[in-house]
Amino acid sequence: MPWFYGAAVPMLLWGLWTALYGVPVDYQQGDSYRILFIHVPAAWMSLFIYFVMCVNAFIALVWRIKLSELLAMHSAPLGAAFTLLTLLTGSLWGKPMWGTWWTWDARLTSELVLLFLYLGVMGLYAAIDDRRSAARAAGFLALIGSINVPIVHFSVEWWNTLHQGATIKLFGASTMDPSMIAPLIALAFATKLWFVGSLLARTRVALVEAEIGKEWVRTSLANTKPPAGESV
Amino acid sequence: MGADVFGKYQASGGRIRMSEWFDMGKYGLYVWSSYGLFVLMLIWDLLWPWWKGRSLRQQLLHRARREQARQQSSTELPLP
Repeated sequence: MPWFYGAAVPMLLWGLWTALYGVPVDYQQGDSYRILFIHVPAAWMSLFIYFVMCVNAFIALVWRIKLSELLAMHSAPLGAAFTLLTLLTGSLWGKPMWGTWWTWDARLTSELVLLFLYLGVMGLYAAIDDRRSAARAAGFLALIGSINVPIVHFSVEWWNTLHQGATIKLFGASTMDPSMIAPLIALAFATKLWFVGSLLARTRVALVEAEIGKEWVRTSLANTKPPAGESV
Repeated sequence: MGADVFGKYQASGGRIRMSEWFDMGKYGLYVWSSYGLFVLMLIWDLLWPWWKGRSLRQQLLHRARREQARQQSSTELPLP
């Protein structure tokens, strides 16, 4: 788990430094386009984490694996945070470029729905007392909500939106300068690694909470003095 | 920031002054608050499991102490 953070942080720092200092100014948007280096990786993460959550929720529902329930449920907070970050940075970018903080555009609206789905999953999980049935109910909600993921992704192609189309394409040429792509890719990888580290950290704590009455938790905790910190 | 970095950007005609860098061509407020929000989110995410783990540890310590006290009191006071 510390390795994921350890790998993410240098990449993150390099990406942020390059994004803020290394890359040249955009010829149309000036310096404001630097928000892209936060906005786009965050948006990718908002969809990626939803996908991870759904895969785990599916495994939890079909095979009743307790660890998958925890993994699915503890993906949600960081997913919601990235979705919120996407919306906020989009807003901060929209104000100087489009002249508005918010518009009911297909991309923006579907991303907002994604945020509500995350919050719904978290709320439902918190609302039911029995942890396991809570995870199953919330996982079911997450799976139903997965219909929104392709809508977010393709919204810029299906509808005429104010939001621009994809600049980075997995297949075919990207319409972006290579020097600008490098920090973007670095930040995209760094956020993914960070998410893995964070998910493991959150799930470990949740596992301890779930098993709090059991012997192994007590014995391993008795051996760690509070200042020793890290190990459970 | 070393002089070489500044030299490089001076030569390439890029920005050379700190104040210009913070200004971001008048978009400073928008750009820096975006980056700030990102960093804040990462810090929150880092602290959450740590904070949660600490509260769980305290909870367990309390529980262990309670149980210890109960066992002691039951051995000290013989039943009538």
